[in-house]
Amino acid sequence: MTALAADSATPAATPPPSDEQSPGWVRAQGMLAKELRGRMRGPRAFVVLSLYLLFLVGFTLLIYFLAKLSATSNPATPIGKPVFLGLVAFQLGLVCFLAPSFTAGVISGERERQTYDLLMTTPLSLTLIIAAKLFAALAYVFLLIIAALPLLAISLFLGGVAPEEVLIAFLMLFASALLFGTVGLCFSAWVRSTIGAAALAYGAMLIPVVALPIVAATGFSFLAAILSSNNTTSPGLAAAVYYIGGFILSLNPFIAGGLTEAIIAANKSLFFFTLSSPFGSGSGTVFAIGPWIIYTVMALLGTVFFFLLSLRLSRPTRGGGGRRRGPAAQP
Amino acid sequence: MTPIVETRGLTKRYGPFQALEELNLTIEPGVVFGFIGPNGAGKTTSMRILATLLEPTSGEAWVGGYSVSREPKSVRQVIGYMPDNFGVYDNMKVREYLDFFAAAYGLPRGRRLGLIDDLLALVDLSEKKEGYVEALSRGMKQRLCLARTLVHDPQLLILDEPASGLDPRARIELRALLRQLGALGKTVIVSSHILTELADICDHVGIIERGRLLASGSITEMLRQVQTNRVVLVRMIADARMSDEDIAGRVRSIGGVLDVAIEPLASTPRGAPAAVAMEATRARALSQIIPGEGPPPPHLQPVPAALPVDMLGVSSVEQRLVAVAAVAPARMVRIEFDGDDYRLYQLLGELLTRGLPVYGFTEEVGDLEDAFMRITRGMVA
Repeated sequence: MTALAADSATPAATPPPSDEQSPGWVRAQGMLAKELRGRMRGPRAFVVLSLYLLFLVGFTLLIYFLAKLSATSNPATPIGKPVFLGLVAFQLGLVCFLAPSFTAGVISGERERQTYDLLMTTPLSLTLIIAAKLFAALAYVFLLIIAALPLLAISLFLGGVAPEEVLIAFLMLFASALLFGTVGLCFSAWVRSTIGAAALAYGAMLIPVVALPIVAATGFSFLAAILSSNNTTSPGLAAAVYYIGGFILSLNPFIAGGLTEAIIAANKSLFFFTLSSPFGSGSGTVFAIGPWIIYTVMALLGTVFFFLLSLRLSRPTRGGGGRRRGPAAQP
Repeated sequence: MTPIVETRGLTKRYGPFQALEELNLTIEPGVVFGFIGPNGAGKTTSMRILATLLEPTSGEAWVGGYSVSREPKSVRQVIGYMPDNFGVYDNMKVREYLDFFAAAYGLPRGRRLGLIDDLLALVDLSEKKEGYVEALSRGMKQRLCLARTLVHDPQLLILDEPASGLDPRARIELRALLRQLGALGKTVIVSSHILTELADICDHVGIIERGRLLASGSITEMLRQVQTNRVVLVRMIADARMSDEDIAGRVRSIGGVLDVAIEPLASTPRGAPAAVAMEATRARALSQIIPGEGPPPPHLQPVPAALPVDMLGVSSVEQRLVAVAAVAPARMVRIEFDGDDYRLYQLLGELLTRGLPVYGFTEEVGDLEDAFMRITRGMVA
């Protein structure tokens, strides 16, 4: 009591001595420590990581033996490639599934726990709160991705995989985690319940992952068939169809990864390449960008968009329904 | 002095529902202000606007001189807010909980360590420092939340129903804590449904109903405002020489007296030494006012042998009076009176002059519940 009374005499806004950390840094540290502690404390994080790695080892061994069996009929096929592709596809699926579920509760969970108001009345900026929560939620997803690195390294030893393929795979995995994580975050800020937010986030995730490629592939194949059968197709129309179709297909991480692999197999540049007569003779030559670049850039842009939207939706006075009629005089 | 809280025409609508209507409120620094009103009156809405959690539909509010709409960050440095319903974080220790909020206010680590110990001592949770917050009882969580509101030494505490859901012991402890904060000079805005609790800790109150502030001011002022006439409670020692009608007649003859009601006092001493001693003291005082002249009343009995009157060293006159007090019920005379403090003083003199055996004279001051009931019924404009 005495100490507090004595403390009361000292204004809270007293500037800290020069050797102390700035209040902004202290706030950021405190917020991050709290979020990471909440995620990592206890046996759950360790158990989940261990089980995940055990499962991944089993999965890798399964692909290895399947590849080994098929390699007996075609000894020239390197075993590393199917192991690598299988692992990356599995991790990509995991990221699409885990990232929204990890972030769907970050804001709605605060509301459900009735701790949101306490947080909002502190001087912590909304950007810091949301960024720290996103980082802590995705840190565990990143940990799962990185934990699989030794297994991916095995595929390098087995042959058929270039280091840049591993780098591209990691880039796409991280970009996917950020995109689907911010989608979950956005719904968490919008919907009051975590279950509702998670359901909506999965629904939203299915659009680029499942619905979009089906629609785009069907439409693209249909148009390609028409254009290929028509010898009078102008190069401009062919290029437009190619770009739009290719862009939409590249929004799906699995298709973008698969197309990238196809480009590598065709010994083309990973970044930019040209494609002659994509829809038969006379349809001209198109200049193309690597699908993984399109996916990564769009995923990062989507991340920024959904993050900003989350900030807007997380404002405590959101839906307050009011603007001041006019400025009142300061007393 | 600049008010710590000022609102002007503060209005809040939720669709067609008017939660607050033109709220004009001023709270001076250092005041413990009680916000009273029925459910849905607008207390929580007002507090949430002051806590920067809600934007008003119109009007303006300032806290510590900062506008809650235009300078919410500055307002947050000034306030400590405790909502009516709040939760705690899982997997977090009590020390970590306070440390997190202290860090949120930018307090450096070195300063936080000592502060946490002080705050835990203040709210009597030092022993739970390394315990997990979710394992605390509700009362402990309330106290922890109160400690949390104090981490940055705010000028103003906004506590929305801090005692709701607490058991009697926790309520008493929380009330004592709020009194301590008031003594520390903190300005506190506290809402509660239990008016007797507020009366105990607040020096100012605001009564709100249907979004409108009906009355605001110090409790004393408000009680005086709601009371049309003064009521004096006069305790008279038992005296069979006077009937109730006789007493009522004598009192009514005094100027300014509007009404008189008499009832027997339930707590008449009957042989308990301590009670007899008390009556003897009163009798001793009375004997100086009423001399022993006149014939003794027929009902007077000798002091019962069981009563240790001799030990008290009283005279025979006093003994008789003690005996009267011990065997007959005293009276409580309720006098409704119109007059100022000087007339009140005169009333006491008149009662004694008329030979009434007065041994207690107090003015009845209405309580907060009376004021609340009268004001919310529209009895006060």
